[in-house]
Amino acid sequence: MLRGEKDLLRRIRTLDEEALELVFDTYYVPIYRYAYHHLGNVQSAQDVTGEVFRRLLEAVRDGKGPCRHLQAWLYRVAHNLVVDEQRRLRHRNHLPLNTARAVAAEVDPEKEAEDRIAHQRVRTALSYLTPDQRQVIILRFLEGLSIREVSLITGKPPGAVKALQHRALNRLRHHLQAKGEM
Amino acid sequence: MRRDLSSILDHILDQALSRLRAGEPIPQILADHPVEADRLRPLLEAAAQLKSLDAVEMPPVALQEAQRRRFLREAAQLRSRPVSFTLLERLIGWKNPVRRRARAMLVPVIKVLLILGLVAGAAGGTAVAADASVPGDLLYSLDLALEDLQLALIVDPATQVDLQIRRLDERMEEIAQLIERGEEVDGATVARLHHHLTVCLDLIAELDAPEVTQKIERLQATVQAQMQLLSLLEKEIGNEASRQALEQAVQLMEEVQTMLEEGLEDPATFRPHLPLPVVPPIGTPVLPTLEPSVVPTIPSVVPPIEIPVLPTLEPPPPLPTPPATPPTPIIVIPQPPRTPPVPTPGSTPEPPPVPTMPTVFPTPPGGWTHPPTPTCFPSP
Repeated sequence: MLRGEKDLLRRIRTLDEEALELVFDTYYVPIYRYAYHHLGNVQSAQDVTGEVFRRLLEAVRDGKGPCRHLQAWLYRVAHNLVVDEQRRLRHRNHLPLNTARAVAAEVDPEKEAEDRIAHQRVRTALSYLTPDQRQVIILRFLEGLSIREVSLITGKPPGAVKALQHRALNRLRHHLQAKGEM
Repeated sequence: MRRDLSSILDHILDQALSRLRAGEPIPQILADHPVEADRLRPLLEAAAQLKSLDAVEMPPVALQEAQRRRFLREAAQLRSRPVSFTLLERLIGWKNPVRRRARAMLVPVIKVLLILGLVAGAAGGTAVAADASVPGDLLYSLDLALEDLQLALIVDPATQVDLQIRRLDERMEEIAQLIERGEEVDGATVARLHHHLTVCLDLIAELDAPEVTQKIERLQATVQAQMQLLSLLEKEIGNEASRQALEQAVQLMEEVQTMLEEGLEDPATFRPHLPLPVVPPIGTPVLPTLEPSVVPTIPSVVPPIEIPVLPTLEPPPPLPTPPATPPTPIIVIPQPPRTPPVPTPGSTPEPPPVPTMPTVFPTPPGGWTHPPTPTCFPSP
């Protein structure tokens, strides 16, 4: 959460260049990661991220945009775009989540192979969750957001977010056990 | 209770997950929650598996920079855009004049209009329900009130006649429904029939010559149909009170039928006999009475209400009668001054004192005297 968010929002509404630079530099990577975790595709995640910031400018131009919580607004727009992109990819018979993964040059190939398999199993288990459960898990564990932040993004009460988190982990455990990962 | 326990476990799990994400090992976390350890362990282990997804393939830095430059360039274009709208925007503005913000302001107005519409719809539904009610129903008074309102809004006498004829049909329909339900048809229902017929005749008398014949024919057709219906309904009646009410209605219809036939034979004489229309209050269940000068007088079939007015007199002087005789109450009708009878022993006992009330008739000189015999009425 940025300091002086209220002041920042006011400056964004005036299209202040410094404020917009700050927003982009602060949120580009988190939004990209969020899109990537959902889509598993660099190009799609990059397109979604670029579109999120373009929508921010459009909203400011139309006198709309975030009123109080910039971060929650950006994640909500990203989530809507992710859902649209997933639908589009499904129609094109693309796999919703691919196995693309960053590879460091100095990593041991054998360990890298094991990691890749584990990565794929967890990602597959993640795909068995409901959209709400998956969103909470990604925001909470992969993006490291607090319950309150997740609550603001999803529009659900904190108690409901905790309950979703609990059910999601139960389901994840069930699928990982079924695959012999645990 | 179960919901509370579940909420507590959700909370404990959330705390444990925060510590796991902060890097604490699972055994250390579980040691702080020995009671819930068995339930927390598999969940924390599943959460730990998610760490394998932490690594994200980022796009090339050059692409990130390109996206950043594009974002800032678009912002700069927005900043430098002219204040006035372009031609295309003006056209779109004309096509869609209500901007989104204006639409948002209209939302409360639309809500109020919707609520008013719902209320009006409910009122209309109530009115429809009231229209289908019969005497004895809760909404029947509302039905009568609405009819009065409708009549009050009409100025044209010919239209009023039509409406009164329609009311006649409605009253007859109500009688039929009451009989079908096995409910009693009371005198008030017949009185309403009488009222509509009376008003109808008064209104017809007010019309011009050509319209008089036309309206008489229409009323005659209605009355004939109603008489047929009444004759059918009489066979279905099991209630004595309803039978009497229907007999009154039949009698009323027959009288009106006779008047209408006479009116058709000579409409010119039908009209002048009627006085200026004095329309009684509409919808009142009280049977209206016609002026005695009205020729087509409808005989009042509803039994007249007798109000006993008892003229009371000053207490007469005590008569020399034997006190042993029990007193007999006497109602005395005042008579013209007569010669006081000679009291005879044992003739009239002393009446009890009567409370003083306003005297209806003037007291003759010398006061009132008792009749010679202890009867209620003076002997001829």
